[in-house]
Amino acid sequence: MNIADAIAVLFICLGCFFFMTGAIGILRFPDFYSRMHATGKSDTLAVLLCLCGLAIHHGLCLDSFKLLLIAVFVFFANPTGTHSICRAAFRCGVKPWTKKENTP
Amino acid sequence: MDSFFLGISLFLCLLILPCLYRAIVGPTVIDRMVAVGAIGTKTLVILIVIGFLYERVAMFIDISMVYAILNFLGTLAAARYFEMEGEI
Amino acid sequence: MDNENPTPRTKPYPSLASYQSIFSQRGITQAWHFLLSFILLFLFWLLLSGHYDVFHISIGVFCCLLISYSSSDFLFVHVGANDTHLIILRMIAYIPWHLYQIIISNFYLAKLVFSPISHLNPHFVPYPTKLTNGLALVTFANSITLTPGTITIELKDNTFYVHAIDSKVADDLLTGEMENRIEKVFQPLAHAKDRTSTMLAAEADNLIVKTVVRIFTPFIQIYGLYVIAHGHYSPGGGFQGGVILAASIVLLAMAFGLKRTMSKVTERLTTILCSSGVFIYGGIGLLCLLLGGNFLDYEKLDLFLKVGTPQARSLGILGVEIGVGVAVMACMTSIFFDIATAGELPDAPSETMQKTVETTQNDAIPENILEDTITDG
Repeated sequence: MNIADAIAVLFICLGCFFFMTGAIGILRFPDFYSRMHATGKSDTLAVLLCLCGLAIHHGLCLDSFKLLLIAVFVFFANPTGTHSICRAAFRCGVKPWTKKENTP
Repeated sequence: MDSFFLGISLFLCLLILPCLYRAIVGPTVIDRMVAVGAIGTKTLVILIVIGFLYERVAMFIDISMVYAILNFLGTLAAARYFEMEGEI
Repeated sequence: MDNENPTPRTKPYPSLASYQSIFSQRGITQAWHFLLSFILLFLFWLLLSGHYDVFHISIGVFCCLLISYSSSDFLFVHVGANDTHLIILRMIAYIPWHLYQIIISNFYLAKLVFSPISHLNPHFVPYPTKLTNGLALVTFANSITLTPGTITIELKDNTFYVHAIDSKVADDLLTGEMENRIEKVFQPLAHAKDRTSTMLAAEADNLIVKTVVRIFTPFIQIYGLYVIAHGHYSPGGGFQGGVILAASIVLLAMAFGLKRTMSKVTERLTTILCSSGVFIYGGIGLLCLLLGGNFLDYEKLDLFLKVGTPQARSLGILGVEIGVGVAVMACMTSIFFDIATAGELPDAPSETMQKTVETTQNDAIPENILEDTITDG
């Protein structure tokens, strides 16, 4: 295993770790807004890391640039989607979970 | 490297399960939408890893690019719908 | 899509000479924006294509000219002619710091995920901003959303309403370091009061989604055209490319409203495109019949094109792909319009359309939620 592959494996494993935190967050967090914190951004960074790792493994060619292109697309699209769906929930009057009400 | 990719894709498939739980149980409709969006993001990476396993990367990259666009479109459409309905 | 004149009327009527200078200034700006979008789109095409012969590159030039003509005002609405390249350079310099912030704070979120729920303290934070430029606001909003712990919920009257998961991340945001950095990126424009702020008034509702969709649309359309043009090497072809093109129009309708989109992509246009797509497909097939082959027997086209059998076959397939792509795009768009308007055309305003317009204009914040939850952390 050469050094590029080692870096790629490191990136992909980190990406999977962040995917995992996102998945656990979506399971554990108490309300809609905090679940958005877990999915909206851990997933963005995770996709970025995974795709960069795969591009490093693939080496310098056109397909690697396309992989980075998808990463850039997700990097801009995911926060926008998160914002728009949070705003929709907010305008529909979804109540956020607060510490005061739920802890003695 | 192939077995590593296989392991990664299996791990990501396992991570879909908690999101699926939220999509089925989720108290509100908008929770389900978010869970489905999260599943879509994982699917995007799984598709590319499958491309590496089958050694047809160029083809699977094109597919997952379309998947990314449609995932974004779906989230926006759901948000727009809820905003116009005014309730969940 | 966006041809309304964004320049505000100056109060005293200007003399003819100043009119001419304004006009030529705007003309130069438009030409420069057209050129810049063409260059960007063409680079994108080259990145996608992977086939660098005269034939494919000339298709690419044609597609890029088409898209940059139809959407030259999409990419650079919020910036003037002189400082576009400066902003792009400074933006590239901003990204590493931003990435570093994202990684640091994702680890923080990971720690939060594994700690007990009682450690969370979600609350809303109002954050009045000093930025006025649309693009700067959108960059800032998306940066806030990407730095874990904070999500931009609402942007209204130059105030961000941010949902923070923890008091620590809220304090990090309120130091204003990120805002200062973004202000530096958009230096000459960050507080511009003239063109950009009127733009903002017209688009204040849903600014973030509108700006991002506006930037994505030309690239998605180029991608759709690439899928159509490379149908015989890669997955896809006319049908899939047409669907991607239609998706870009649906995206526009999502962000800018059905009415505004249908005033540009009219029912008439979709009908014409739909039937001409079928005409191209059927015409090529029938041409082969006339030349003595079977239906869609491309090799017979060589009698007509004189380029050799394989070339003729390739050109024939390309023609059919284009026909199918145009027809599918127009068909999908018109199906979407029919479903979304419930079959009623917008020139006869009906209940459904009016309801749509009213609900999109209604941007009241449910104040009670805000008051309930804005706490000091």
